Amino acid sequence: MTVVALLGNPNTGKTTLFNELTDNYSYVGNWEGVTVEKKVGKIHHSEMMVVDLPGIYSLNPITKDEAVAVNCLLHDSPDIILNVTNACQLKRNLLLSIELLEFGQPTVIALNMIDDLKRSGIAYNLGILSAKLGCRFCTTNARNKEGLEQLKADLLNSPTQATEPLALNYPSDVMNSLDVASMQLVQQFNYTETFARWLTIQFMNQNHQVRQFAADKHLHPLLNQAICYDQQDYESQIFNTRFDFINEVLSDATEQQSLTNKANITAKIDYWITQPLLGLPIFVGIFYLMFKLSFDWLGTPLSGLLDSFISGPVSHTASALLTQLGAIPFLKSLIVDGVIAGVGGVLTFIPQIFILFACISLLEDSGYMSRAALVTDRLMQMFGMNGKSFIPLIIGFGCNVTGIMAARTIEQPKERLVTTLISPFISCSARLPIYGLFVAAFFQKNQALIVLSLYFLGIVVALLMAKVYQWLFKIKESSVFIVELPKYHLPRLDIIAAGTWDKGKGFIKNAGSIIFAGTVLIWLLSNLGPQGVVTNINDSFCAWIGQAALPIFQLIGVTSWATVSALLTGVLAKEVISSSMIVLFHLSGQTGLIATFSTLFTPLSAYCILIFILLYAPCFSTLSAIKTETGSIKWAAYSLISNTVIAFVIAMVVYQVGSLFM
Amino acid sequence: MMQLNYVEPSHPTVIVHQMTQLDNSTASRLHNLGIRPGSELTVLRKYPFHGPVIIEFDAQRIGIRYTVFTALLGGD
Ligand SMILES: Nc1nc2c(ncn2[C@@H]2O[C@H](COP(=O)(O)OP(=O)(O)OP(=O)(O)O)[C@@H](O)[C@H]2O)c(=O)[nH]1
Repeated sequence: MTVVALLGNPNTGKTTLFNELTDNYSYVGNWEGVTVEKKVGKIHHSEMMVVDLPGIYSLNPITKDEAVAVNCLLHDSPDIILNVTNACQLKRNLLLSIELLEFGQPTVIALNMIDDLKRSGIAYNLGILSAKLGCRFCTTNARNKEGLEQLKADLLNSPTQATEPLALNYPSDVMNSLDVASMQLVQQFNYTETFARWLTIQFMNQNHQVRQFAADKHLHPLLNQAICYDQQDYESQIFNTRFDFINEVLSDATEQQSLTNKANITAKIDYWITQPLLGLPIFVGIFYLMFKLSFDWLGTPLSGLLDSFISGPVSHTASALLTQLGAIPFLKSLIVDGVIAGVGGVLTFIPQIFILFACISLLEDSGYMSRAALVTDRLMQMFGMNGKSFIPLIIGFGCNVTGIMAARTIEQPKERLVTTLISPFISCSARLPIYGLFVAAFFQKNQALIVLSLYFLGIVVALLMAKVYQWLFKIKESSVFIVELPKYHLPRLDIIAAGTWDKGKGFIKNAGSIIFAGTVLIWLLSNLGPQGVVTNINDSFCAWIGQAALPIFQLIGVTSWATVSALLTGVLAKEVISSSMIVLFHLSGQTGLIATFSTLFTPLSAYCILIFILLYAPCFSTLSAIKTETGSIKWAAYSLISNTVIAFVIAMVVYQVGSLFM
Repeated sequence: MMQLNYVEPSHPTVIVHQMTQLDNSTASRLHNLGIRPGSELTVLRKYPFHGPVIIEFDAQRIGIRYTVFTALLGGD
């Protein structure tokens, strides 16, 4: 099977193209660094595999996700390279193209975003580009599915054998060294000439990964010359040659340059959005609107409807049906009071969660995210991080696991570690159901505000901890912060829908697996005791466990063992807390629970328990993401313990101080 | 939509003098974006208190930090 590797600068539309070409769907966003892992799909009606790779600026990786792309080239050697470029920024996109063409695999270059180029009044002669660079060119508009048939045809017709690589006229001493070193590589290591030359150029260019590769394989012809190459600054000479070449090619290939007078929409919007004084207020305002929409205006009423449907008709029908079938009471109770009440209770939060996700997807697709990174950079700098850490944190609102993955675009390893460690404090969607329950019971009037305050608290704790880590890890000021501000797009409904589904499907999948399992577990634990099936829940295993830990939790205002047991299940997945509570209080759906709550909590203790739930131990999936990303189980264990301690201390302080006034 | 009274402001341009004061990662990132000594940058916006600077060149906009910006201009 032929393998096509999608390579190109970040945010050039690789993933959009991938989704259109193949039968897979993956996540698209209008900012750099959306794709953090490679994804594989098959082109419709063909035997070609396409690999979507993270965006790279050059073959010399700076970040972890860029390394994925370069590794694919070095070790998996794809048959065809599809180089996706942003036609408006061809100059810098071609810098990467040259490196790819020197690699010598058949290459097709797609000039994507051709619509944006047309709007700017420029056109390129594909014939000239093709002749100068020695590969096929085609134009596409992936967002509107234009030019895809041609591209597909080009890929299917492309040879899969190595072709004549692009050979630039580097300055003569670079050329001489290149000839000598590559000749030796061919003779001593049996490399093809093309690969040897490419390797040498990359080595001269101080490509870390290639230098590592050379060291691993003991490529002495290169290793011995390293100092000499660096002293004569071959890197700059190579860069300048490439740059001049591109300038020449582009000035030959540019056909018409009609000056359009249409005012540029991006410039207009940016004029307001990035106002020095308005930037932050606009940012806060946008988030406030998002929460209003999810909790007050739209989400909560819809959720109420769904709840009355589940705890009414669904529950009653199931109950009647089970009686008719003659199910034993134990089983009937497990299904009706356990599964339907518990899992159903969590599912009623689908409206809120999906509306929130739709808002985030809208922000992502429009191009606002990178502006948010920019306006928050100064603020984040005070905490020793940069604006780019802000994006993973916002993605963490959906799910901490994806947030942690998104941190891979951060250049410095230490900053990345800090972002990973503080991510679990960000309030993910799984915590929403439990907020919803408590907010409905105690804070009827200010639902959106209370929930927003929790989200805000999560961010504040995250930032403060970042400051602590910065001090602990002795991170110095200098951090790379270069953020591209892409053109704004008119949001597209299908892209937002797909993005929302992409983020939200995990929640629904969880309902069927871990929440279901957690609910059944807690139901069993609360119906079984040392003496077998118990009629009084106070004799159950669950009560035992809860009672044992209760004295500690009394410090944060918890008075019932059932709450403690429910909290313990939260490590499985945060959604399980709410389903456990519903089951433990033996009620169907949220409404009954809300009435019970008022006898167990005061508004103060309710708020404290929400603080605790917000901050305490990350769920299993997050812990394993921390382990994979940091490469050590120590950090996962550390998060588990430190977060619980921090959560406990903060909740206790709020409760104890609050009690003085209430 | 209402036409906000927006006038295309005229922005100052600057020339990149040198890139040697930058750390390696920043310099190579800027190289990859197509900036080299001699490049002409349009300064779209400077945030107060030495906040980020938005620059435009080759039809692309990027945000960089103030310290990087001054380093590109030769440290003045
Ligand atoms: N105007 C226009 N926009 C496009 C085109 N192709 C993609 N886009 C948009 O560009 C943005 C980036 O697309 P992605 O597919 O996420 O880009 P990517 O290259 O995979 O990005 P990374 O994963 O960050 O490397 C999205 O908002 C797309 O909708 C196009 O041909 N024209």
